Amino acid sequence: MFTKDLIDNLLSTSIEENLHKKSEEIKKRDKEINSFITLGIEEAEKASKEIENKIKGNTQGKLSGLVISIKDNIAVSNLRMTCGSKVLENYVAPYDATVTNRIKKQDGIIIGKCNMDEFACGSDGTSSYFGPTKNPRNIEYVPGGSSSGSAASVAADFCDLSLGSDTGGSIRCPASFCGVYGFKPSYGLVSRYGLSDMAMSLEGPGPFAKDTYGIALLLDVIAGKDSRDTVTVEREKLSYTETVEKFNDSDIKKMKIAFAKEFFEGVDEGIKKIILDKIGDLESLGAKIEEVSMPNLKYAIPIYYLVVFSEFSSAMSKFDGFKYGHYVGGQDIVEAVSSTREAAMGTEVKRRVLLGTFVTMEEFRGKWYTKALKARSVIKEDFKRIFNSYDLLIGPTMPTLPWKIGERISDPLSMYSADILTVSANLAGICASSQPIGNLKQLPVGLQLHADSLCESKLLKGMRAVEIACGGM
Amino acid sequence: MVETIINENTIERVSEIARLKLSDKEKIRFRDEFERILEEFSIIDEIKVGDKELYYVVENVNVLREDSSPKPFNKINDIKNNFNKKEDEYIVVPRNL
Repeated sequence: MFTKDLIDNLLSTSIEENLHKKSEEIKKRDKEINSFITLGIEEAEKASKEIENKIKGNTQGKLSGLVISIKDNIAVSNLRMTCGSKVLENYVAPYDATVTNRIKKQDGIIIGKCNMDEFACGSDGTSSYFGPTKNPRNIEYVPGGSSSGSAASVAADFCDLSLGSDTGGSIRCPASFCGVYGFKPSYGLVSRYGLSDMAMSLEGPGPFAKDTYGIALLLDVIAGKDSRDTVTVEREKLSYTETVEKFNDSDIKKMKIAFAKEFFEGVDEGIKKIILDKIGDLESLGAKIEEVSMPNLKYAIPIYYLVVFSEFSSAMSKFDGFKYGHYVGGQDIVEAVSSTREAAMGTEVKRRVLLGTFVTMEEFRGKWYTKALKARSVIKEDFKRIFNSYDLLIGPTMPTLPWKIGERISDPLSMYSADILTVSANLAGICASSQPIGNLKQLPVGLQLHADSLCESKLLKGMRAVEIACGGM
Repeated sequence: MVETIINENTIERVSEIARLKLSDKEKIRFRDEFERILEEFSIIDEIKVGDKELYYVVENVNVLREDSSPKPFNKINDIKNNFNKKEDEYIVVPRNL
C-alpha cells in the first residue's frame, strides 16, 4: 500500500529530506498551480527535526512525519487563515482547530494552508480571492472545489496527505477532478472546532490521500468525540487502518452493494461506462450488486442550496470588520458594516448571503426554508431504506469531467448543478468517498461510495475493494 | 413564474437586512438571477413532506461536560493582534447613536 510503504520508507531514510523534496516542488510548480495561500516551511522544518529525534527513540506518533496540507478554513495557530477571502486577508489564527491539534500530536508536519473557493462557496476552485487553483492533471482545467488546493496539492505531490472540508461535495468533487482519494466522514464523527463555519448542519473536515490506507490513517487521527463540539459522537472502537490492512480479496464476496439509476441520469456517457465497468468488476470478484431507487434525488439540489443559503447568511453575519478582518468604515454602524461587506465579499458569497436572507424572511420562510427542512427528511429516509438492506451505495462522484477554467463562473445554476451527486450525503449526514478509477480524455474519473452514518469502516472496506478491483496493491 | 416575485423593493429590503450594500448594477443582476434560481428551485413544491423539520441529523441533546473549570485561553495577545482599530485595550467601532 502506497502510504504504508511511504511511512516504512520514511522511518528508514529521512523525513527532513521528504519535506525538503516537497518544498522544492512547491517552489518550482505552485506559482502555476496555486494550491497554497500561505506556506509554513520554517515551522515545518522545525517540526521535522523534532520528529526525526522521536523516530530515533521510536516514540513517533501515527503520522510519523508525513507532510500534510490544510484547507484555509481550518485554524492552524500562528498561520494566516483567509478562507480564500479578502474579508480575512490578514487574519492570523490564534489557536489550533481540534483536527490540527490531533495532527500535530501524531507528528504530522503541516506545510501550509490551501487555496479554496471563497468561504467554500463554489464547486470548481475558481472563486478564491487569491486566484483560481489549477488542476495539476491539466492546468487548463478546474481542480474542483471548494477544497481545491487540498486536492491539487496531493495530486501535484506537494504533500502526502491533506485535510479539507465537505459541505456538499467540497472534498469529493476536487478529489474526483484531480484524481486523488477524498473522504467525507459522517456528520458528528470529526470535530468542527476551529473550522470556520459555512453551513453548520452539513459540513465537517475530512481527509485527502493517495490511497485508501492514507485516508484511514488520517481518519484514525482526527475522528472521535470532542468536548468543544457538542455534535460529535464516539467513534467505532476499531482502528480504521487495521480495517484496511486486514481486508482481503475474499472479503469482497461478503459485500452487498446497491446502485441507483437516478445516480446515473444526466451523467456523461463516458463516465457512466467507466463506473458501470468497475461495478461489473466488483461483481465478478463476488460482490452482490443490485439496483435500487432513489426517487427524491432530483430534489437534492434545491433542498441543499436552500439550507446552505440560510445557514450561510447567518454564519457570515459575524464578518463586519469591527474586531478583525477587512474594514472600510462609515458614519454609523449600519453604514460601516454594509460598506465593509460590500467591499470585501466576492460575488458568490454576496449571492448566498442575499438569498439566505431572502428565504428566511418572515413572509417567505414557510415557502422556502421550512419547506426545505421538511424535505430534507425525505432524502434521509431514502438512504435509510437502502442501508437497511445494503452495505454501500455506488455511483459516479461527478456528472461531468472537469471543465475549462472560467467556463461556468458566470452562471450560478450551472455551477450548482455540478453538485447533484454529492449533496445528498450531507443532507443525510452519512459518510461518502471518491476515488480515481480511470481516465477519460486524459482527465480523471472518480467513483463515489456511500455508507450509512457512522459506518466508516464499511466505507473504507468498499474503497479498498474498489482499489483491489482497479489492480491496486 | 414563482409566486414571490422579487421586486425592486424586496431587493432593497434584503440588502438592508443582510447589511450588504449593493450597487444599482448588482441589484438588477441579482434580482434577475434570483428569479431564475428560485423558479428552478420551486420544484420542491412537488415533494410530499411531513411536519418534521430536520435541522440536524444527529440527535444529541443536552450534552453535558464535567463540572470542572477548563484550562483558560492564554494567548489573548494573539487575538488582540487581529484587531483593526484599537485604543489601549479596547476595540474602536463607529458611533451607534
